[in-house]
Amino acid sequence: MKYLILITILSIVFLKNSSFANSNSSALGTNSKNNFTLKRINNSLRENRENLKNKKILIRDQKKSSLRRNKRRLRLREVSARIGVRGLLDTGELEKGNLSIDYEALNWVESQEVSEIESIKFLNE
Amino acid sequence: MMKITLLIFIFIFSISKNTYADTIENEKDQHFRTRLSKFIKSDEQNLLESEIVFGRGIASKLLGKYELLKDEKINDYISKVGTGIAAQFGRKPIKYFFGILISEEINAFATSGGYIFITTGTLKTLENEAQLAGVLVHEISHDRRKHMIENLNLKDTTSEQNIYSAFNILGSAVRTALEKLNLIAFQILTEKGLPENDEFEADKDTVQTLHKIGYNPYSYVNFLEKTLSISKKTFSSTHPSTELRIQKLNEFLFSNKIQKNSGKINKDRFNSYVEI
Repeated sequence: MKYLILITILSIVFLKNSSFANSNSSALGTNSKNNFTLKRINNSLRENRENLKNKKILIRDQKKSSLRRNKRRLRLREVSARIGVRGLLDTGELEKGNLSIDYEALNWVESQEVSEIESIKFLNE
Repeated sequence: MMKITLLIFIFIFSISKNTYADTIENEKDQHFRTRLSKFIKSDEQNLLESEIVFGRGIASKLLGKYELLKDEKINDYISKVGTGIAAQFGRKPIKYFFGILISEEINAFATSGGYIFITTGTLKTLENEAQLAGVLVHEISHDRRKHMIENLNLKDTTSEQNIYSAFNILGSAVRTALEKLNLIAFQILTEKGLPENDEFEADKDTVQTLHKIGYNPYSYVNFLEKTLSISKKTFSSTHPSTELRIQKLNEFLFSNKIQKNSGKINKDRFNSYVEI
């Protein structure tokens, strides 16, 4: 009987600790929370690694296709810089072949930025 | 005795496990909701970003077709006039960029996302700043009213966000479809032109805005009349009948009782900057 009471008390203590840890984990940062966060970090790291792997494959594929279509060497760095949202269109344009694009000129246009306030003053002069 | 102890222990353990699982679920749910709210908040921004990326793609093609005039003096002047107008008339979150294309063709282009181009042929035809402002307002109006996006059927009520969101997906099929759309947009700009109604709408915006910001709105009509008199190299390839546009504009100006000599034209300032 003594053992039974002891086990019950121990279990209640364990339960209390466990629920307390969970309910206040965000505020206190207890071990269970840390474990959970650690798991999440590990998962996200794994995901990132997989994404990176996919991107590398994508870069390599784009490099190959560019080489094939344009019959000229294209620097890997150039291709990788165009990956991402912006790259979606840019890389496609490389594949068009007969269509030429000029990013150097576009960069020049974008560098000629003028101030809005100055422009309004200029209009009112 | 031992059995009862074991049963009690199992019972308590199962309760504790459930509580822990619920907490994790709640936390996951909260995490998901936070992410979702972030996504919803940034959706409008994503939309705009995608449009700029799309317009940038068209602009790069345009610069591949025409050579850019890298004259800082003229470009600065046009940018100041254009930015001043865009600050009052354009879309607020969009940053507008202005470029000059070397071409005898009398034309101007607005790729979506704030990229405006004007040809040297147009600059040669223009006589004063009010006319230049007119051409720039016309193009900014196309951008403001998202005419290009509408013509590509990207603005179909609910599908707009979905299509724009597709920019962010690294799927090859989606990418190819968007590349095709970019090419179609380029062809609309350089070959087919926008529908007549879009041009009339932009023309109407032009005279209204010119009048509002203190330029002579009739100067824009004068410019159109001049293009009509200059051979076949006019807006005609990508714009509707110039005669009809002039007629509609005159009717509009007359109905709104706008005086012919109202507003400034800034001829001297235009001539001091634009020497082509």
